[in-house]
Amino acid sequence: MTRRRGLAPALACVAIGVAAPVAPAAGAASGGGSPAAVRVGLDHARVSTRLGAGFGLGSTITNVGRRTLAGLVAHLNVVSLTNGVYVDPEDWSPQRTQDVPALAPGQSARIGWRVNAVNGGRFAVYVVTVPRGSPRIASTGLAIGPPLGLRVTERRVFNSGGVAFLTIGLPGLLGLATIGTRATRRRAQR
Amino acid sequence: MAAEPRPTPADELAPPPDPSGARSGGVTLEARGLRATYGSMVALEDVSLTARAGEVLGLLGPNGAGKTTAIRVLTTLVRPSAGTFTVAGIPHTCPAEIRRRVGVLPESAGYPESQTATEFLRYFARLYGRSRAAAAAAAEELLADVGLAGRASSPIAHFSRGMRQRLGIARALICEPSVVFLDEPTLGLDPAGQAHVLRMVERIARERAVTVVLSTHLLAEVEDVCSRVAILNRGRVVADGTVAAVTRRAAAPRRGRFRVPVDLRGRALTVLARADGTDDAKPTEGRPDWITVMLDEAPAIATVPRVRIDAAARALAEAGIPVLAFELDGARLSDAFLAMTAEG
Amino acid sequence: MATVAAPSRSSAARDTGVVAGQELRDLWLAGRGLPLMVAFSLLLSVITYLGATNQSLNFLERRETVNLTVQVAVAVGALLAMVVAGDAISGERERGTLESLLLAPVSRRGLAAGKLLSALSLWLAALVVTGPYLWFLARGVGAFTDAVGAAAIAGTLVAVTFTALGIVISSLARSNRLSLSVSLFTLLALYTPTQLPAGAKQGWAGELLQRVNPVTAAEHYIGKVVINQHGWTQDAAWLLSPFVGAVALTFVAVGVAPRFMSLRGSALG
Repeated sequence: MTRRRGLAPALACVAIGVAAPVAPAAGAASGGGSPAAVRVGLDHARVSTRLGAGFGLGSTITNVGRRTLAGLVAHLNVVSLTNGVYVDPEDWSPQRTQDVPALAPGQSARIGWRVNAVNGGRFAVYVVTVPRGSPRIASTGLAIGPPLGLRVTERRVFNSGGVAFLTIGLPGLLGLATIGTRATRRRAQR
Repeated sequence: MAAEPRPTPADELAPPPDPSGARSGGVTLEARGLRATYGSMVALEDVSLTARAGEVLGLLGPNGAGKTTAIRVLTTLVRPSAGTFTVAGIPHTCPAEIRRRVGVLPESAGYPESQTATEFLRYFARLYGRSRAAAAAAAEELLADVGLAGRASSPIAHFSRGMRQRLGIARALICEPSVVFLDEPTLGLDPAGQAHVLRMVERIARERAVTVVLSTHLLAEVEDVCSRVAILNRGRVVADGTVAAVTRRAAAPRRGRFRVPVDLRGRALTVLARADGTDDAKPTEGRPDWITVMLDEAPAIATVPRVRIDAAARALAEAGIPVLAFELDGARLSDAFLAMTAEG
Repeated sequence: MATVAAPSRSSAARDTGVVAGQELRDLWLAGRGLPLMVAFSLLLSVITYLGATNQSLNFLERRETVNLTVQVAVAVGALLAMVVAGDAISGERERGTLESLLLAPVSRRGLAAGKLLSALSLWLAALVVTGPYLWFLARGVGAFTDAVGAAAIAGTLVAVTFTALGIVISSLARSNRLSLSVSLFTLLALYTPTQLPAGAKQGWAGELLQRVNPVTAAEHYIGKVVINQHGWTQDAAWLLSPFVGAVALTFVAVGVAPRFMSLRGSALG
């Protein structure tokens, strides 16, 4: 059994979020002693982005077994690696569970995900495949992909997109209108 | 607050139209048996009043007598529980029409502080149905009439009490009314302000042939300005008529003083003591050539005071004692007012 | 003592126009209209700035930020209109200016309608001021039209409801303080259910209460249009209570309450 980079986080992720037998290695699945039949791969190993930004994440689901696999679902999870930062996965990606088409031996499928960086900090993003049937029967379809190391920076931008012009300018304009109106009226009353 | 500007002389104004025939001196206000209540409290009971065009009717009474209630009934702000009235010939069953024909200065009138005098009058002129141009012209004319032309563009917040009262009178005239109701128009004014308002009231009645109903506490004002007076007490009219008639009706004791040659004073005392209609003649203190006589108290008869004075003077003349001067004292309207409103 | 109802031959429409014209001048040229809009725009500026520059404030996606802005604009705009309406009659009574107005041959209906229109102008101004903020927040997510439309439809119904209610209370209250207290209490009472947790709004009873309350119903409609990108008519049934509230209270404010408009105030206080 090969070990991939990110085993420790993967184990941690499994302990937290995966309702499945422990996956001893990223990118492979095993259960009940059967060899892994699915391999999950991600396009990126690390992504750095800023708060509020979104990015696309591609995953490759490969049938490395000898039989055709059908009825798999791929599921995206986000785990916070920063103390005190709570992750609500529904805010991070609109469609976290997607169906995987039937895969012949050696065949791969590409599943894409849209990820929004909703919180600042360090996170692990990973994909797990789960068979629709009982895991005890079809455990060869269970697999966890390598986690994506995601770093999200919070950056307060004073004039993000010109917001300062609006948030200062509009009240200022109304204030000037108020002063001007009062001054004009006072002048007319003299 | 800015100092009140000196009032300017009024311009000669053309008399307004007279659809109700008021200018002919006809009756413009007639109330019969008015009754008004606030819950169980009777504010007016059997109040009857009459006034004609060009008259100034003084409405007198102590606090709580019902003067303001009477004005509110006659101006249709409050519905009477009994009785009838007509204003400018319009029956009380047509309150909206009555409101078109009357002008009112309420006792506790407030003014929108942020508006100028011109804006204020224009607004009310528009409410009375005038076009924008006509409203502007009417406002300008009335402000000049009440001596506020120089403050037309000033906010009312800067107006003194007297200026506000004048503005209120201008507003009361905005609709060219047949009857104007002024509730305590001189309240809070200094003597000069009071005098100015009273002159304005007289002029309004005279030049516009308008009936003015003037509610006031100041009896001197009533004597000065009013042709008729009605005294209210506890919701009832206790006296109604000309000032002189009301005063006489009170039958207050009257006192006269005669000036005679010093050397004839003793003989004059004797003559007056015996004359008809006099009582208790005695030397006037501090004035060696004067004699003070009390005229007989008698039931109210219109000509009694004159008869008494004539009788006393005739007695002196017949005795060969010349009357160098005469003064009449006591029995003012104030005496009548106090006599009629004193009892519970 | 009976107060005088005022049937008047003067045109109620003309009276409304004259009264509304003067009230609008008093409110916007000499009064508190413009300062209120300055304060309103400052509030929206704070929300917009925080939403645009530091999204960890609310971790919401853009459309939810836009929705929040619309909800705040509707709530505050309706509040401003209601406060002005709450002062309309009872304020005149306290300042001593009502008597002169009642003595003029203007129909009480026209008086109430004119003041209602003038107070509503604050909501319309608030809607206009909100526009640029919504444009800024909604750009990039295509939510501007949805947001402005939802605010205009649902927000106007809510604003009319509260403004008319303010006129009714003002006509009846004996004092200005009482009028404003009752108006504000009513508004707060109707807005409180919006803060309930989602679970409390479940079930037939929860949904019924949401639909019956014009505030929660309008909030629901706006959320569906802005966040979930529903069409204008998809959730139109939720606008029933705001519509009924607006129509009914306007009828009462203009048609019924003026009969009780008097110098002393009547029912309240």
